[in-house]
Amino acid sequence: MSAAIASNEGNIRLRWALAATAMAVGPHLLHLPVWISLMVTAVIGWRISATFLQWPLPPRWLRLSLAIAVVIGVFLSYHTINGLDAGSALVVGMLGMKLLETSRARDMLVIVLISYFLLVVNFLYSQSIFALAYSVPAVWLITVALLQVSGSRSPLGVYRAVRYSGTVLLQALPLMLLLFMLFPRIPGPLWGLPARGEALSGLDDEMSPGTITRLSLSDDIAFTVRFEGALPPRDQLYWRGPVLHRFDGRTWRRGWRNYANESSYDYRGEPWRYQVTLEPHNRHWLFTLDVPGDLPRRTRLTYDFQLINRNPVTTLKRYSVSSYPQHRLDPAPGPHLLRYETHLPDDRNPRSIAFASALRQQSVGDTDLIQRTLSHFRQQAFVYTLEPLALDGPHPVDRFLFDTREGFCEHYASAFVTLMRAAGLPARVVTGYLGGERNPLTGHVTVRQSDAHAWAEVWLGNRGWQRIDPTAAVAPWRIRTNLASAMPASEPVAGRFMRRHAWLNSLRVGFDAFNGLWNEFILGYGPDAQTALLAKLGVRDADWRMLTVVLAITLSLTAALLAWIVLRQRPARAADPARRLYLRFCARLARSAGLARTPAESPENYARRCAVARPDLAVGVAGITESYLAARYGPVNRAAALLRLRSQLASFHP
Amino acid sequence: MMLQARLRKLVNNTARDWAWRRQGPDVSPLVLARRRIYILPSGQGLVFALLLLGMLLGAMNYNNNLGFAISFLLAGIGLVSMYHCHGTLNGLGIAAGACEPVFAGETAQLKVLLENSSARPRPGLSIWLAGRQQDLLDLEADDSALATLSVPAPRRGRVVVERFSVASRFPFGLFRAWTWVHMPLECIVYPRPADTAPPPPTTYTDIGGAQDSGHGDDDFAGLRDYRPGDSPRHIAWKAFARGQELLVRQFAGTRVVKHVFDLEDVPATGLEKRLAILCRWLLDAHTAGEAFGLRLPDGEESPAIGRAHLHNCLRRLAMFGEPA
Repeated sequence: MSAAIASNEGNIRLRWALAATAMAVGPHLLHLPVWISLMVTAVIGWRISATFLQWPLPPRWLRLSLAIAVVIGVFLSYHTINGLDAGSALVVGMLGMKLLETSRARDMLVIVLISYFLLVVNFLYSQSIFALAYSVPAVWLITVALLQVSGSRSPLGVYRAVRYSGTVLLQALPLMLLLFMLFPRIPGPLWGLPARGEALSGLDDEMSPGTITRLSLSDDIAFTVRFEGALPPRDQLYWRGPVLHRFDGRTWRRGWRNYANESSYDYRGEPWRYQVTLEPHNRHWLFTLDVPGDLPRRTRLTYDFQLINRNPVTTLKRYSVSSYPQHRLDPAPGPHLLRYETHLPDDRNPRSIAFASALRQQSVGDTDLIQRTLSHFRQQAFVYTLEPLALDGPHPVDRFLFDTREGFCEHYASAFVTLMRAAGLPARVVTGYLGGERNPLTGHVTVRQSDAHAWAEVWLGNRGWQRIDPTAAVAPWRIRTNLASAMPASEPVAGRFMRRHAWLNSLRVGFDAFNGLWNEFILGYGPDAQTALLAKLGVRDADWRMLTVVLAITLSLTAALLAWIVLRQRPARAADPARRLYLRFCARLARSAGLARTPAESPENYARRCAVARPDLAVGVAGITESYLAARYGPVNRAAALLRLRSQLASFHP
Repeated sequence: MMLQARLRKLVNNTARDWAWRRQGPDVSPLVLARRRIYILPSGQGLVFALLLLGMLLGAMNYNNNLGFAISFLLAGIGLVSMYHCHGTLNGLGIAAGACEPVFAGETAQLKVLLENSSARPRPGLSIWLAGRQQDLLDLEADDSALATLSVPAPRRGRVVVERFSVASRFPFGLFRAWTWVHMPLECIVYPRPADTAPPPPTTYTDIGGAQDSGHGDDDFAGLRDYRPGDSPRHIAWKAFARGQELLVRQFAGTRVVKHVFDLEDVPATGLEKRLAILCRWLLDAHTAGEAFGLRLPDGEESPAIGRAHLHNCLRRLAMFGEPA
């Protein structure tokens, strides 16, 4: 009989553990190989049924062969058992195997702990708000399971277990927040990040016709920006990304990565200060407006004024930076540099080179040359389109300039720089993003992949490098508004459908606002944000030692408060009304006469002791004691005694 | 392995002695105060901490803020559960319970009353003796229960437990809170009855009304008050019909066998052997429904019948020669 009860209680515990496992494994089914997903689902279902139907567990040899098969299967699926994907597949697979043998308390503990672990692994796949929304009930359920598989003699009732775990989670919440904010964050990966294999969309460090066009079809967010102070004018929002120097006639590639020296640029005027929350793109570069000063930590500026992060940006990155719109870049570069920036392949695009020489002869200086070139784009029938004709053949710039005459920003930038170089003017292609959309709810500027852009920079002697955007000559509205409005309705522009419908658009704006805040304050919280937070709290230049001290102090205070909340004594409200009244009487005596009743003292003994210590109270004490005993233990008329006790107590004031 | 076990024992003993010096003896009933409850992470807690460390390293490596959040939440759960674990013992009432005497060679069932007078349930309370768990129970709010400590009782005399501990791993088993209770629990151990015993010496057998022992119902001797269990045949119905109380007729010839067992007269050598034989005689006489008395060098029980008397006699055997 008792064995049956024990096994029933074991089944209850096991079902909780299985529910926790199912919850933790759930989101992994999306990325696991189908066979593992099917297997683990089947095993969980089978095991739950087994607790109801008393099915026997599979024999040891079968479990062992299945486990070996899982390892081999994972290896065949991924060609490794290392790394995030194969590793999580292996953990889920082994968890499934573990379920086949689980019966003891310790096994259940193991599967509950693995469930916690799987939740964290899931965050490596997605840190979206939805992932969090799923994790809150998941953590709760796993904690209930942990409670049920350990500690008490019999599992708690459902309501009580859920409520109790919820209480503990709520009490743990302030500690979590404190640790989250103040635990010293060590930047960068501790060991090599395994390559995730999938290419993330975003700018590349090479550009050929079509690269940016493809990008502009994506409505994904590239980064969000929060400006301190007023938003700069829209036509100034050129977010500088990779700068491209080497040209083979079709494709632009980046040059060598030298770092800037202090003398190659100077700032004037007031800077714009802003904070960027950059979506991971697996590359080193960060996006800034021209030209950045007050660089974030662990970043450097290259000689062509790109901001370069020390590590690839594999997770959401938040950085604060200032940009000086009034600047002079590289007024006196070395001669080899200028040679490098005027190089063109000799045998490519001959018509363009000839056209450039002609323009050079007509012009009376560099500025005039640029104006004439831009006028050419403006006056000839050039078309700005997302769906240009393909530029086949060995001379794509020639074909664009003289045959097709339709293209997107990269075509214009590429053709313009080619012409400038052919005319002997140092020039280069700059890629990045243009503009962004201001969110009316939060004031964030959201920059999307569809805002990707390419423009040109030419070197004008002592004025240094100047930005020239040839696209502006063809489609000036593109600079002032976003792409969707710049394009005719027939063009397939990302996000246009949403923008057309007001309510959909407000939904989108609201979600963007929320997501922006989420990214900036939760996911983008890192070493820099931590330092900034402490500075706001009055601790300047906090290093990890300082952080540890602050954390220790605040943690101790919070822990002490929690200890008080948890450990303060709450005497039970006695079920019996007579006992309740009598305890009130005892408390009254203890408080005002200093006569506390000891646990071993019977009511009679207590009354006797009180009568000796305070003869003035003897009559009242004796009366109340007698009524209490009569109301609690008397053979008859207990209700009357209770009434008497109540009235006696009401007039008893020691 | 050997060394580890010895080391653990050394640490345990040192800690227990320290607690003894610190707390002194306890008086039953006892309410646990905060300062005498000790708490350490359990093995399960260490595994949990290891898991946390792994999660934290992963979160650091991938700069994963939600990973950090979960790790820190679990750390918070760990810390909070420490207080909850401590709270399951804090304010718990402990009292020594009565123990049924046993015969030597049996197992004594010592009882401890655990009382929860607070509004908070106290699940998962365990009683430990010399590093071994004896009992595990859950207490609801304002509830009490008896826990049992099973201690082998190999010898006549007393089984005394000088100290035991009360522990809890509730809620998550990450911590183990415990307290050492120096509250003597004892149990009387009767001598083990001899398997075979010589018949008791007949000289001490006294048969009242010896002449007509076979016809005990004839010789009317008087009336006494009715007691439940008396045969209806002996009830004085006539007197009852006259309106008197229920009375029972008594007869002088009722056979009464009276023994007085004397330690000096037991035909055996060795004190324990003789006590064992006495024990057997007492039990046999009790089973036979005969009156018996006991004479020991340190005192005497006059002849009587009944369970209480039997236990008094057995108790005398148990305590013979023992310090009071």
